[in-house]
Amino acid sequence: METYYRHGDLLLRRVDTIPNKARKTNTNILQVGEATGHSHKLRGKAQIYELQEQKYVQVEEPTELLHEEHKPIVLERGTYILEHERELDILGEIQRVQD
Amino acid sequence: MSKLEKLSPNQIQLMSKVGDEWINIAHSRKDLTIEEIRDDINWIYNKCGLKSPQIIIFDSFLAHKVGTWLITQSGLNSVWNSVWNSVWNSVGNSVWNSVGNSVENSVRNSVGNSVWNKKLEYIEHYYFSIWSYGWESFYDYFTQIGILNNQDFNQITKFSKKGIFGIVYYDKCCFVCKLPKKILKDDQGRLHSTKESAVQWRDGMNNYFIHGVCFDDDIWSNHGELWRKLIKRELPIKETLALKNIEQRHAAISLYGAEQIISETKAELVSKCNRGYDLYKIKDIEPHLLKYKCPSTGRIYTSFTPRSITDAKTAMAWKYNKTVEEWDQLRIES
Repeated sequence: METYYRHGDLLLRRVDTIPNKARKTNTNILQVGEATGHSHKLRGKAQIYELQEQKYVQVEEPTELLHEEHKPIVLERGTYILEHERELDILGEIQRVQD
Repeated sequence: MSKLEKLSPNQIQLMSKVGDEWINIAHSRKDLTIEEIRDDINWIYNKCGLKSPQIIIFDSFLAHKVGTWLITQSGLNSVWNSVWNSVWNSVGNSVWNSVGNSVENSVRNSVGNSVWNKKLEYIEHYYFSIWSYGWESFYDYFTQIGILNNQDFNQITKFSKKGIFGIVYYDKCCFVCKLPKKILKDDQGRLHSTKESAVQWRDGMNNYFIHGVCFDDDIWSNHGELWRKLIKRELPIKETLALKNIEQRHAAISLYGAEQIISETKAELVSKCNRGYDLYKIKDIEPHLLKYKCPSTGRIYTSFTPRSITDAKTAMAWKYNKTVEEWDQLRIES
C-alpha cells in the first residue's frame, strides 16, 4: 500500500529508492511560498536530494516537516518523493499551484 | 558539567518574554544614525582583524540591495564569513555543551522560531536579507538564563537591538538598512492593511499585504495596483478566481467572502464531500470550481478542476494526480 503525507500544497509519497543521479542539496527547505515567504522545512535527520526539478527526501530518523502556518507533521524513516498540487487555470490549462 | 535537561517554570515564562522583546525590536520602526552604530561596527571589524569601514545607511531594503550591488562592483569582498566565525563557533559550542536536546528544541520553537515567523519574513526571504534576529533571540535566551556568557555575542546582540533591518559586511564598507517607518498587522500578527501599504519605508517605498500575503506588483514599479483593486472591490470576481497565485486568490476570496463569490457567480453545486470539498459549476467558465478547506489552518481555497470530473473527492484527488482510492490512503494531512 502506498503511503502519502500532505502538507499544504506538498504531497510526499513513499518510494523505494532515490535515483543514483540525484544530487544532495545543502538545505533543509523543501519549498518556499512566493507570496508569503513561508517555507516547508525539515527538522531532524533527513537529507533532500534533487534531480532536475524533482526533489526527494531520505529520512534517517523520524523528522518533523514544519511550516509557519500548517501544523507540523512527522515523517517516518524512509525515502520520499515530493509531489506538487496542480489545478487548471480559468481557460482549462493545467498549471502547478503557485503559492 | 551536567547538561540542562529541564527548564524551571520561570525559565519557561521567560521564553515568550525574550521572543516578544526581539519581535518588538523588529517592529519598532526605530530610526538609526551612523553615530549610534559606528563604534559597534568598528568593533566587529577590528575583532576580525579588519580596519574600520566606511558605513553607509540605506532607508529601504531596495535601496540597500541596489546600493550595495552598485558599490561592490568596484571590487569589494564580502567579509561575512569572518564576522560569522568570530562569534558563532564559541557561542554555538557553549550552548550545545550545556543544554540537553529537549531544552534546545523547546527554546528553538518558543523563542527562535517564533521570532523568525513574526518578523518581516516575506520581505526577508524575497530580498535575501541576512537579518539575524531569529538565531540571536535563541542565544539571547540562554544568555538571559545564565547558560551563556559570551562577551562577543553580547556585544553583537546589543548592536542588533538598536534596530537593524539588514546589514552586509564588505572589506572596506559596511552597508546597513534601517527598519521600516511603519508596519501594520492584523490581529494574528501578519502583515496586513486594507487602508494603506502594510510596510512603509523612509524613502517612500511600500509593500502591500492582505493577511500576510504580498500583493506587490513588481520590485521596480510597485504601486499596489492589484491590492488597490481588491480593497476597493474593483477586481471582477472572475479575475479574482483566475489569480495565478493560490495564496493571493485565498486572501482575495477571504476579503470578498467565499459565499459571496459563489452567490454572485450563481455557481451551482455539483458535488459535496464530507471531507470539506465542494465542487461547483459556474456559468461561462469551462472548468469546475473546487472549494476546499485546509485541515490545519481552516483556510478556504479554490481551484479549477476538469469539467469531466463531477465528484468533489475525485476532483481533490486529481489536484495531486491521484485516484480516489489513492487519496483515501493519505496517512497524514496538515
